[in-house]
Amino acid sequence: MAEVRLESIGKVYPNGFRAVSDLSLTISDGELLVLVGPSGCGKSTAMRMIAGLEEITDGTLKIGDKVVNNLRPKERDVAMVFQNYALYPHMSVRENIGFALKVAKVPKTEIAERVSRAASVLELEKLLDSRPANLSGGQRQRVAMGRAIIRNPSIFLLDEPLSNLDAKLRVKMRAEISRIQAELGVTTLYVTHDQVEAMTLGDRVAVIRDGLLQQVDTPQVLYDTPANLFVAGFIGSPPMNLWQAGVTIGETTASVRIGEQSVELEAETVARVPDLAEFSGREVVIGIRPEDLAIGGVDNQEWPALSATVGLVEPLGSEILVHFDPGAPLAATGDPDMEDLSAEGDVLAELAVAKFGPRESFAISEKIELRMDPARLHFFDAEGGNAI
Amino acid sequence: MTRDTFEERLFGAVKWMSVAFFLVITVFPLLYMVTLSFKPIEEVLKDPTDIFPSWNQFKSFRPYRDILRSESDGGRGFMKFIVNSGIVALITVTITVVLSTFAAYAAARLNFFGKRAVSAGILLVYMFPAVVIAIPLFVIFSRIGLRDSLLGLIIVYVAQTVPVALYMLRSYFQTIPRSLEEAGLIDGLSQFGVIRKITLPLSAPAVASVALYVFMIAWNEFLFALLFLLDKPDLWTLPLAVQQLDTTEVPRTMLMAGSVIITIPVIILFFLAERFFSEGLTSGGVKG
Ligand SMILES: Nc1ncnc2c1ncn2[C@@H]1O[C@H](COP(=O)(O)OP(=O)(O)O)[C@@H](O)[C@H]1O
Ligand SMILES: [Mg+2]
Repeated sequence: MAEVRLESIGKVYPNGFRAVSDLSLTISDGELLVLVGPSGCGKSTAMRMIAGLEEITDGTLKIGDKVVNNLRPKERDVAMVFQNYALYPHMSVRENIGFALKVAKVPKTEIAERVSRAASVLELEKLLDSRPANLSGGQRQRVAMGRAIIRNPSIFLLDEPLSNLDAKLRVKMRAEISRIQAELGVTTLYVTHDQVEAMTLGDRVAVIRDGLLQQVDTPQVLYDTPANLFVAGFIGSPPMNLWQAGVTIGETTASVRIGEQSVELEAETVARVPDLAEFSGREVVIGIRPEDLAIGGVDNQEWPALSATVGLVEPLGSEILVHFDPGAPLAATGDPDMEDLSAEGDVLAELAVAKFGPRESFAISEKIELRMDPARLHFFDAEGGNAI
Repeated sequence: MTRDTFEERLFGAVKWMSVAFFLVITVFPLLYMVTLSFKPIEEVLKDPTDIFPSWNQFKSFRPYRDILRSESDGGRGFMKFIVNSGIVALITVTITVVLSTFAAYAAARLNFFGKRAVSAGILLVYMFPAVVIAIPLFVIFSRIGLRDSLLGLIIVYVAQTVPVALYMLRSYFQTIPRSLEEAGLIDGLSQFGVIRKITLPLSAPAVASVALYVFMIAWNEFLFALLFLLDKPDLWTLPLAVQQLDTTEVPRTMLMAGSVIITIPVIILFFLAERFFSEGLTSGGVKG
């Protein structure tokens, strides 16, 4: 068990590409920290530097109190689950799981004992004599897990371990990983591009973009107070609605202009976000999550109103998603996946979305009046995207 | 007959015809060689319908015994040549396989300056025909006193086989997913341990075929053996010794017996190694 401390870690590949910049992060003893970000943002690179598979260009990496920058993987006492599992094809499941112990010259009887214990945790007993080639994806994933947990390492590193599984198995294994990690209490770094996985698994979540750390905090804090536009757009599904808006703050009144509409802000909102005053007369990005929008009614008469046209209705049983257009385009957040969707002409990527109870009903092209929960409005600097 | 069944039958027929064709062109000469090593060619020429040796001819094993007996016993001393060829082939295989395995690993995995140039150079070397370098080598080896020795021959064979061996192994190593080796590093192996415990076991089919290839070259090579060893009958390798039998004074049966002796080990090795080649070892390790 150990604390892992990254101090201004950077990575420049031999071809000159800078994959990670100035990454400072502490994974506390026994914590499960999730590193999340779009693919290609440098997550695997960061993890591989911790594992010792990739040289660290700048900064200091400490495990416990020891600087390990120049230690080889075997001297760092880390266990890793690879995205592609990387099982040894020429060994049986039993040999795969026990391999690290064999290398460490653990006595045969003890290896056998520990292998069978790991196999029972992962329900692999019946497969111990099979070769990896004869296993299903889910079984291979569990063998890869087994190879990691058998060692009692100081650190677990998991690189998108569930991304090759189908949705149902993914949910099951997610719970399983969470349980095993809590049980063993091993310091864990978990890498994923899936923010739902990040939110459900992480004690804390670190969001990274283009090799730069955006924000590290508990899932709830990330969700409630994203530090910038990117985090706001990346965390949460469906994502936060974000629009370019002009702010005007007078003596007694305050308003934002979203498209052609002027939306009045309450005094409390202005008081809650004092720095907003500095942006009077300028552009900001205003954000609100789908569930913080409501249908106009008696109990929310005071809330800022927004009229919109319904573009698409998705009844999900437990709730209804209403995709709408308030007459203003969504602001870009820098999430490459969302940009890909827009580029492909996906209509949903162009529309804002609200989440309502299942008993409401809507028609396409209907004009509706939405109310925005003023306590849940987010404001971001249009330049740079930092939260105001 | 529908078109599908017609095509099916046509391809079926073509398939069997090609199998038969290859059988004929490979098995017949072999069969003839074996037959003629027992039965004098004059008898065959007299009655071409009866190519099989009589039981007595077969049982006596004469040509083989004559050829294998040492010269002092009135034989042809082939036991010695078999040993010479065996030594040359085995040492060449060992050196080439070890050298090219490490070099191929370096070329496939490690980063070093001029890696691309080295890779291109590997094949370039192989493109020089042996005859072109034979004479210069003859001169050089005469000067440094390596000409009349098996060592000189081994050096030439190693130099001749390393480029292709290296190229084959490098291509194979490149197909082994890097993450398998990284998993080995994480599991506590050193870089060398990874090669020994993971890369090499996974490369067994490639190493076996390279070894077989090198063995065949070293076992069958004639030109350099002739150039280097002609004056030293004690050091002759099998191809050279068999070629020396090709005179009118030596019965044809003996020449054929010599040919059989050269051929048999290669065939045996091929069947032993075949099992290796058909096993797909790397499948199932990684996904995605
Ligand atoms: N060996 C390498 N040489 C050069 N660039 C690399 C190398 N490995 C990864 N990269 C680049 O670094 C970036 C981050 O890669 P990676 O850490 O694998 O991303 P992620 O795991 O977040 O998807 C990518 O743009 C990738 O193309
Ligand atoms: Mg990755």
